[in-house]
Amino acid sequence: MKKTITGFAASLMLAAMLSSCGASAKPNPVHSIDDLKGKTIGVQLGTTGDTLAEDVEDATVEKYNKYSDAVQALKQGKIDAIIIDSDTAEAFLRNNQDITKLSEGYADESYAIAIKLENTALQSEINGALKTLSDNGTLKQIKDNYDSENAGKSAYTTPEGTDHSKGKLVMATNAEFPPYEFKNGADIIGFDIDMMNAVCDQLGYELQVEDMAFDSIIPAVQSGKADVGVAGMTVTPDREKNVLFSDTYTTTHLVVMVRKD
Amino acid sequence: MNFAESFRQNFIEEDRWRYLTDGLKTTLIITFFAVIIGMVLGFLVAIIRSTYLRTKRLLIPDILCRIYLTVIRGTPVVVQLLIIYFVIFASVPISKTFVAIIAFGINSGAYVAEIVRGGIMAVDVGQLEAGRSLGLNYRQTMVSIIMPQALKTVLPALANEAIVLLKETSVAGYIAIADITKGGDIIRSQTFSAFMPLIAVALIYLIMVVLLTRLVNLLERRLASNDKR
Amino acid sequence: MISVKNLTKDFGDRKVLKGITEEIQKGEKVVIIGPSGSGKSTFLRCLNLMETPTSGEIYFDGKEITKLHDKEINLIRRRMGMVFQHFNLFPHLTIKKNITLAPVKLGIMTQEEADKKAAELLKRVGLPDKADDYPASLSGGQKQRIAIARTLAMNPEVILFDEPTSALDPEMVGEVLNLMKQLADEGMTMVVVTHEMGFAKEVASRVMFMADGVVMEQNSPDKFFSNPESPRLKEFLSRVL
Repeated sequence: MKKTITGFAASLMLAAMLSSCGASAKPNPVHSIDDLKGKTIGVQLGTTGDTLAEDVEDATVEKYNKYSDAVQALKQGKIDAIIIDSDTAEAFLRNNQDITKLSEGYADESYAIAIKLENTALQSEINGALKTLSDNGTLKQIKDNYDSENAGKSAYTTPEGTDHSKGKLVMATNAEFPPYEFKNGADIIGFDIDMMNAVCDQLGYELQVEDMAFDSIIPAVQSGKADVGVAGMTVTPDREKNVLFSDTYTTTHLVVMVRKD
Repeated sequence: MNFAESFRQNFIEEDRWRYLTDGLKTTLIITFFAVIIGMVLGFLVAIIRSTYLRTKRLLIPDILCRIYLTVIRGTPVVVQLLIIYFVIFASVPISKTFVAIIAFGINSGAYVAEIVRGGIMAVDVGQLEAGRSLGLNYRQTMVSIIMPQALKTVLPALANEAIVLLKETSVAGYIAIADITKGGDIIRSQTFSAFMPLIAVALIYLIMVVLLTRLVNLLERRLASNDKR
Repeated sequence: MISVKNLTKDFGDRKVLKGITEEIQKGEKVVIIGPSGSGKSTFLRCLNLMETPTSGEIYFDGKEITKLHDKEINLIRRRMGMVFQHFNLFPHLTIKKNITLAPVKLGIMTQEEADKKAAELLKRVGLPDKADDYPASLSGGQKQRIAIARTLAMNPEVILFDEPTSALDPEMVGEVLNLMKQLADEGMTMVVVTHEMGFAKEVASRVMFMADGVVMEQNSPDKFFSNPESPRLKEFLSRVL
């Protein structure tokens, strides 16, 4: 009995040591989008990356709850690639030296704000605000603030004396998507948050951010738990059956993240 | 959208029901093998601990067992699962289902160990003395006299532990395993409806638990009738 | 047959046996009496090493058994039967299995031989029709008779009785004492811790009085009871007789 226990403890420790001394993950097998066939692809459940990966021939799709877990798995060689929004990919690449992205990406996608199907009034209000912000350069200023080169230089602040008399506007998001929305200590910050603050300032609402799983955002909007869903959400036909979308506030595209050769 | 339409969208369209059946299969596989590992590990630990408590032998293994019990029962199973997946088997190419089986097995072992130890300690010490006084050694006494009696008292609790484990495997999705819970989540992420997939998943768990509980009750009743002889 | 030299036993700070030197001959029937807490049960349990002595030596058939390994102790225990106050029958086994378990497990008999032996023993203890019953269905007296049969199945050279009738209802004491008397008549070496003074008078070849962890006085039964010497024994007898 003694032997079994010590043997068990020893093998655990050995495994722990193996991992801590960083036995290197297997070499990167993906060099083009075509290479994805038959590979193991990591995504975050319910994202457009998930939908796209499902269509890759013979590929195994691992649906993580967060992209950061998928990145961890990629680095450890548990998966071969990740399909992810380019801006989010950039944010991960900045902090992880051993991964990179393929130069070829997928087609452009439009991000928009999700609103409850019947609520066309809110939809037109938001569209109006977005147009104003786009016209006066606020949107560009906010986007620049999260750009790697100009990061932090042009933060959005609510103008003094802004009227918030129309009450709260609840925004459902999933704070796992840098630079769109992510956690900074206890705060949730990011491009989408600043943009929605600017929209609310325009319209006289007070923004309240609710963090949840990405795949819960649309149900939350449908059930009225949240007024809007803003989470780097791509407009897709499937989603349009379930929610209204505002006008596009930014465009992006999906890329493939892999280990460095 | 009416009920029938919603049902069709969530389960029939694009064969989405397969997420549930495949997930159920994964859940059952993980549970089944984790229960086996948990039982083996639990009995081993229980025997070491009760041997130490009764005879003061096996001190070092007993200390190891106590560390194991403290660590496992003192941390959430999700954290253990993530540690085993991302830390212990960090760069080891290994099937995730296997990781989950190991994680849930090791977790369950700690609870099984305490149940079985309780059962062993509940057997009157006179039984051990009677066995030893006849010239049987400790192992023979354990196997022929103590364990059969202990097993009978703990069997219902062990079965319940297996039922608890079945439900606990629902966190396997954290390491991207497509178990039944994750299967429901995947449908939810595609159809954006919460009601159908969640209720379906809940019903499947409920049916499994009710069936297993029935079995346990049957077992308990048979054991009880055994006592009346 | 059994000889004990300077035997002591501590339980933590409590000194239960304070140096006992004794000799028990083959065929003797030694009855040990004394107030509770006197150490008589502990002394008995030291003889087959159910308790490990703190110091001193115990010899069985001239061989020192206090320093033996577990394996050798197990061999010694086969030759020294023990009967417990609470019977300690195995509740999950039939009466027959209770009796045959040890001889079969230890490879002394085949199951058939053991079954035959069990049938004989059950007849001898007066319970021939209980072979396939479970202990739970027996009365206390019947249980103790089965426990004695279980011990006899090992063909022991000596039997240690640890208050065999203390847990019994009064009307069941007789049947157990009768069986013990029968064993004594057949020449079995017996060491009996008991409160049954009648049994001591009638069956013992020697009566031992223990108090405060030592053997205070011992004698043949007639002298022991008619002419006690120490004031402690006098006082004890005046209370129990």
